[in-house]
Amino acid sequence: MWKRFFIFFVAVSFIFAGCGPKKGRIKTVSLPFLDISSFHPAYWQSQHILAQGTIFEGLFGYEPDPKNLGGLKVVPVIAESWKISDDGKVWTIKLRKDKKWSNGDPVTAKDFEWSYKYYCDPELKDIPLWASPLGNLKNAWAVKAGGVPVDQLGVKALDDYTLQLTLADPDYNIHLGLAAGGVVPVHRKSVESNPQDWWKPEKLVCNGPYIVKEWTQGKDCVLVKNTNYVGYCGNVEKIVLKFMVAGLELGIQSFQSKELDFAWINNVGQYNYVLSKPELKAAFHEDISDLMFAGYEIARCLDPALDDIRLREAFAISIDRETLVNKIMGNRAVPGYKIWDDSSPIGKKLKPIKFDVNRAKKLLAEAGYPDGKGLPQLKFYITGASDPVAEYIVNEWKKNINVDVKIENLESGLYWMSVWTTTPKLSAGFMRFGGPMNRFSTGDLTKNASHVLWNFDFPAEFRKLRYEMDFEQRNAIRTSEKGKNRSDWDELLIKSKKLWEERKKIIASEPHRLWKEEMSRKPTFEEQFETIWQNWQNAKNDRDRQMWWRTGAELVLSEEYSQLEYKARSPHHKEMYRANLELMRMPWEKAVANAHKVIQMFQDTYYMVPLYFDKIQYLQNPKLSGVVLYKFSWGPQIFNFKYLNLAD
Amino acid sequence: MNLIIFILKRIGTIVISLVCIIAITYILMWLAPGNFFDIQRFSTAAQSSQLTAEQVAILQRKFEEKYGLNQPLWKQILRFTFDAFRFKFGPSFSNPVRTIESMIAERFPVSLTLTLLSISFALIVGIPLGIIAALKRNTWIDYFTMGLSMFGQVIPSFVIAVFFVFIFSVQFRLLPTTGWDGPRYMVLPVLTLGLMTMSGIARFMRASLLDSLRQDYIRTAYAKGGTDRAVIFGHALKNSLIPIATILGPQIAYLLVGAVFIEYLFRIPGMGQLFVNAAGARDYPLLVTSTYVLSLMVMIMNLIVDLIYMFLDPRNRVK
Repeated sequence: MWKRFFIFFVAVSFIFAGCGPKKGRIKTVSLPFLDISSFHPAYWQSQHILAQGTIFEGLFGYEPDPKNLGGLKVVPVIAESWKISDDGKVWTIKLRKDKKWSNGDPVTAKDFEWSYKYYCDPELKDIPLWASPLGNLKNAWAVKAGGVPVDQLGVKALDDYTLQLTLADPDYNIHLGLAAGGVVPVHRKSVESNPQDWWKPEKLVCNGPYIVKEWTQGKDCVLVKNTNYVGYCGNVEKIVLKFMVAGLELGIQSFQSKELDFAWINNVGQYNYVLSKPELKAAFHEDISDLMFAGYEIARCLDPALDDIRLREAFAISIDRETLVNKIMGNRAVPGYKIWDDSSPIGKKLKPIKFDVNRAKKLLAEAGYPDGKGLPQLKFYITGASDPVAEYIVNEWKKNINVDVKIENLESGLYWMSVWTTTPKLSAGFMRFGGPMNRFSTGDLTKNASHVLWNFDFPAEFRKLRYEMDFEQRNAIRTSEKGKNRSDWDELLIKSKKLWEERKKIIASEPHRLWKEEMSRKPTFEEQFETIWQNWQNAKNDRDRQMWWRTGAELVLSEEYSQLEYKARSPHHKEMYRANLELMRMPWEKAVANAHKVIQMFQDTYYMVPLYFDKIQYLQNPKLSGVVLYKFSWGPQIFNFKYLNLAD
Repeated sequence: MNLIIFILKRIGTIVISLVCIIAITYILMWLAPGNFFDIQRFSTAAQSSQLTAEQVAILQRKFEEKYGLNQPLWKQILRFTFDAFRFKFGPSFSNPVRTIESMIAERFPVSLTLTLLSISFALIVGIPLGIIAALKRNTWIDYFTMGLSMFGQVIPSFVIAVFFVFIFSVQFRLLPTTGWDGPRYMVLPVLTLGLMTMSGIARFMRASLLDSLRQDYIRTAYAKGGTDRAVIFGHALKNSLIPIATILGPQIAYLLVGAVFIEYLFRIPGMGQLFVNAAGARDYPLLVTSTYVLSLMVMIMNLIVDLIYMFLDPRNRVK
């Protein structure tokens, strides 16, 4: 019996043993990727990376360029030439005439017009217009809200190969945003024939160099070359994308067994393992994540303990960043003394945050806390099992300036809410923070350091008032039973008139042209309030009357808050705001050359402190070339697969 | 007939329990910090300076109507419960182009296959191991088999998984590292998950069989001239299987939705992955659905276990 069992076992082993996956003569590349939940290019999910130049193409796209920020530059793809009106609000773009869909249909300006209207249509819910340059098309938000017909959207095909974009605000750089995924065209006939599932592989019609052949969510996605594609594409005929979760994946092992041609190195253990194996070390590559800085921010709370800039600077300059990256992070990062590192033209002009323990002690003493004594208990908030970086920082503060900061672990939902919004739930302290670019835009050059303008640097009394207005008073309005009677409007009508008079004074006194324009944006507060008041008077039932009353009350509250916020900004804060407005309106090259001035202002507040820049480390099949790294906020990833080439 | 009435009564209990579970989950969700409107991406849209207050109000109303939030809470719970029993769960917050039922329909067969194969492996290997250990009690065979089962129980499954991958995929290239594309891909995940369950079954089997073998009726059977094979497999084994049935029910339910690490490691598109993603993304409809599905699985498994009990032990049959 045992003999029979042994023979059976050997036979089964031979059946299952193999020579590994057979790739045949088709050039096939297997790559790790994020989970793909659909191929709809408009949603702010992982598929938008694929939409940018792999399965879809837009008017503009990315091309590798090591000399540029993030190793990329934006180039025209379907756009051939363009003109911008003097006021920066009208773009007229000529299209190439040779581009095709995967079913052979020509790609025309009408495809773009229809697609942009499709994205902005109120029926297509939950599209994140904030993440897309479509948000700056004239009437985009109003169309999305259903208040304006979709044919009034600021997009028009003047003829088959000329597209005109009319913007709400001047933008001389919108072509940079048009390289992103949410603005690629979709095939009208496919969408209209299959409105619920046109994006599924069996029905999807694309215009990029690859099409989706097979897909199972959570597993594999197979791309093959689009035979109707016109333009450059490397020699890889089939790409298999394998869904892998960083930290819970067997990427290195899959690379070793030749099931992957590319593998991320996600932690120190994997990094050291790779360095210890000669065959893996030969496949090792490294780059800097220059579009994203990692650091910490002051917790967005009402507690005034860290309002003194001397304290914040003392904490920022008493961390040894060299030891952090070499010892704690295992050489998987480079020290970050500025919001942009020295490899970029912006970073070269920024002054660094220097490691200076003596100065830190002096600042503490000047702030009234000699040798760290007398400070209230501060906290470093983290989430997840542990945070070695936070533990190191807290130890540095104890060692260098004798301040004992306690680490507090928050539940994930509360943590992420607190990273972005002010909450009274936290006491004074610090949180880990990373500032990425979502795409190339002048606003993104500050890498979220511009949050200083909206969440920080306000007096503690104003922060408390802001919280009360934003949450408590707003909540009270939303749950109020008022609004059914005319008398409920008395107070609002009086208040709105007073607020409007005050607003006009503020606009008149503001010296900066751009800020004046922002505050005077149409429809004005007075016009909006009048519309809401009229809607209430025309309402047919109590439910609608209540809704309009609440809307009017919230509008009055928002206006009151906005005016208080303006007055609460210190002169320096207002200078930062004006400088940021200027930066956002500059042409790209000028913005890159001047961004350091604004970023330095933010950095010098020490509300958001850079600590390091991650290294992007990976293994790459030596026969594979043309890998393009995506370093924006969803990264690091690889994308733009048309540049891939596989040697024989 | 009694059996049918028993099953119908249990189904009735399941229905009532599910209604309570949905109501409690829905209320807990409602009480969580931030309401739907604040947390979901609509609030980002509403923050655009291009929207007027009037347009924000219209958007809010549309959002509330889409998710039924303008209804009283009790109506929302009833509506969701009614839809849940029809397996209609609506769109997911984090994946608005897909319905939750389509996502579950895609993943449930995968989880079911993985679960059934793991349980089958655990039973096919664990029961004989337990029997051998019991029959060869206090010999090296007993110590070896119990040592093996202890190994399976104390070592975390993801450690075992990585170990198997290192041996079978990296060193000997016998099996693929990850994926779910056919029988070859199933071997390692099934072995990993099955090993844990197999260990428990082997230990339970050993203890249970030893206990059965000490009973008077076994002594009687031997006294009547029964052989080892006849006594053990004809009498003792059936009674010894009852505790195995006890642990099988919850184990199956756990494997269906709880083997998250293994699913991520081996890139298996199962339900565990789906539900963990929902928790992280605060995808409330998907979270409520996952609670509902998990509860339903546990209750169905308990019913099946009770029916197995009745089969194994006539004393438990419905009169």
